[in-house]
Amino acid sequence: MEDTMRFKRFLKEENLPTPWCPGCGNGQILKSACQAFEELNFDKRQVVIVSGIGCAGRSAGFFDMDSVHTAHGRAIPVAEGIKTANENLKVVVLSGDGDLLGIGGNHLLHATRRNTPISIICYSNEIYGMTGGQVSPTTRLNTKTVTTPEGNKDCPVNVQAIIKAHNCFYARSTTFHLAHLKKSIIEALRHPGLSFVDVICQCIVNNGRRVGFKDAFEMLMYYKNNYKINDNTELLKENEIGITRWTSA
Amino acid sequence: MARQRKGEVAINHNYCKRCNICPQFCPTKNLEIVGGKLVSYDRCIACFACERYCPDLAIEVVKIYHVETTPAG
Repeated sequence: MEDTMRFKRFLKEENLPTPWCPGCGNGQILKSACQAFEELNFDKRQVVIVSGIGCAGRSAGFFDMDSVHTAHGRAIPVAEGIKTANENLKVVVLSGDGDLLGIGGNHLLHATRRNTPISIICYSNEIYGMTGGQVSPTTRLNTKTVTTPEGNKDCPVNVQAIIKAHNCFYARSTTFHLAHLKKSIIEALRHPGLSFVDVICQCIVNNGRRVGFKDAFEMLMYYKNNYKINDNTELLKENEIGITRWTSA
Repeated sequence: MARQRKGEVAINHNYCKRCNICPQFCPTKNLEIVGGKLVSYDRCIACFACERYCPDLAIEVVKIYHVETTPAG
């Protein structure tokens, strides 16, 4: 096995291939998370993966580590419970935007208030993909979905403001900028308090096609042309990705 | 002199979902979907773009190291 594929030791190969649609970005995030674990040289027995419900919620099943697939929206409370029971464990939450911000939005708010030392990786595909493409808390204004055929009239949730309001770590990345994504996850895992990585990923089958993208590659190119990396700021603009500066207050 | 290939693309056809990401990322047009199956030719330059962007862990690029031979004399 080549050095670049050594991260596969964190995955259960008998559970692969992943059940996601062709071109889905979730696999790339799963891979980047494993690469970050590999780079930090984590012990398999020291990490617990928690995930909720949804497309992204399936990711807990692929890890060859202790992993919990929790009830809808309740990934963060379970992760907080694990961390409270055993402080030596590294708890990582991998879940989607609908699960973390929609159904579990209240838990996210209170987890940031308590600043529990867990890492949250949010697969933000801007749609409820598993149920067929309904409008989700992160769907942009004027986006056509199944439930908003004339365009979304409500503005998306400002995740950055929620996280930064309680002085937690926030990073945003996309599935095109894979090196930056890996760096963001590594920084998040090293952070002493609650850390949140917002990963913008493509959902071609239930979101991209309706919006007008031909295939997943076109969506990746859109991320390439639309997002600029800015790692030296306290507050990211809408078309910027980066690791926000964090000051220990 | 024909260009030597610098890598070999090992495709796991059980994992591959033919999403058409890797053929468009390949700078040498080495990958192509022919008849519903991903095939690789001998133009690989081992840039690892397909391996990095594959969402399904289906591609593994193996580098080929050529031994440099200098002509005698």
